[in-house]
Amino acid sequence: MSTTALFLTLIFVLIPLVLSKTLGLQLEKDTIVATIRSTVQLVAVGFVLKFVFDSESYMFIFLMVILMIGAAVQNARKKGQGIKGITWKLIVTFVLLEVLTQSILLGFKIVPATAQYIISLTGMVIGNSMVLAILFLNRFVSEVEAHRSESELILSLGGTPKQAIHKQLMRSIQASMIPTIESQKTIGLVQLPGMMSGQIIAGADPLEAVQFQILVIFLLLTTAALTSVCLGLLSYPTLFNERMQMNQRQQKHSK
Amino acid sequence: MVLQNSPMIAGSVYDNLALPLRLQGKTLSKEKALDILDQVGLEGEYLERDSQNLSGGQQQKVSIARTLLNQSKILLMDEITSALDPSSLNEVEDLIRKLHVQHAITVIWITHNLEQAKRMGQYAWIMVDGKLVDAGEISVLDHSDIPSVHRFLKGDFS
Repeated sequence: MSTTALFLTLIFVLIPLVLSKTLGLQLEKDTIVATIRSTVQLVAVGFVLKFVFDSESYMFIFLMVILMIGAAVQNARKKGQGIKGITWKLIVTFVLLEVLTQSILLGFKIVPATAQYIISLTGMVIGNSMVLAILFLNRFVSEVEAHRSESELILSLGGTPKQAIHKQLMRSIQASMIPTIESQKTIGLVQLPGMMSGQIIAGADPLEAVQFQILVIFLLLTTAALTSVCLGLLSYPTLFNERMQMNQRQQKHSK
Repeated sequence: MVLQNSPMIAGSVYDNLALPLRLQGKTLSKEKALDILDQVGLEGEYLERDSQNLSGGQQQKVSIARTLLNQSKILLMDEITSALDPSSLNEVEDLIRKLHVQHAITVIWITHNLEQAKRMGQYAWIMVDGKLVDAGEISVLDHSDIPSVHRFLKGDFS
């Protein structure tokens, strides 16, 4: 893509700006900030990735993975502030997911152990896991509050904390997994995934692009299941005290 | 334990009665469900009714029946009549008296209603600001030796 063509892509930023101004949506400032931030971040990441890919150093790969997990934790933790120790729970979830998926990918030699593959696939796994974690936490916190009296009833009848929160936990896990499963049902029919489209535009053989896309969608199914289940199982015990009583409502600080 | 607002799970009266046994991996027979309903003064036809459509007094009776199915020797009741009308309140008080005698259950009744405490209780534990300040025979409610308790029971919260 030429520099002129790259600049011309700004037309796709101007359209929402004009619409926002005309309709009084007041999204002009956010749109401009988002445009500048995404451009600067992507350009910076481009340079960093080029450096890491060229170096082929496992230390730099490791640091990149840590950076991705750190950023994902920072973003997702805002949605789970009603849950004690949410930062550590997110770290454990993301690290477990990364270790498991990379062990399978590299252990079975599904992809080569190079920075190009490790970092790209980590980005997809952790990025999707972060979105799922936010979906899960949003739903779980609201489910717990909406059905607090039912949980307290089960505890009052001699039920365990796990029994008291079981329905809410299952509903939250299902709700966070459904978008991944549903989007995969229409993949290739309604939408061409970004990674596959990018490869095809870059000149790759479409059949080869499809092979990698199949790898990614299967990987994202594990990501969806593991993120929700792991975060759910780690989160629910902190809603109860050592006497198996439900903790008092906490002020929500999430935005 | 019987809760103040007698929460019901979505479903029929039977679903609610079966809950404590279901938590233990057991099932509740229809005969036993009808028997426990009879003990709390509700007719058998209530078994299939939607629990959400019952009156406050009826929900509290189902709640008591549900707790009795756990066969506990101690029943802890958290202000169970505070949301009931006077007629339902009398019915629930009579029911608890009957169950106390029939099942030889110890009843611990948390209440802010001093007259109710005198009507129902044999022993009283007086708590002020979350602390136990006096205890004894129910007459302690009329003759506490502790000035702060005396003032509290007279309605002086200063």
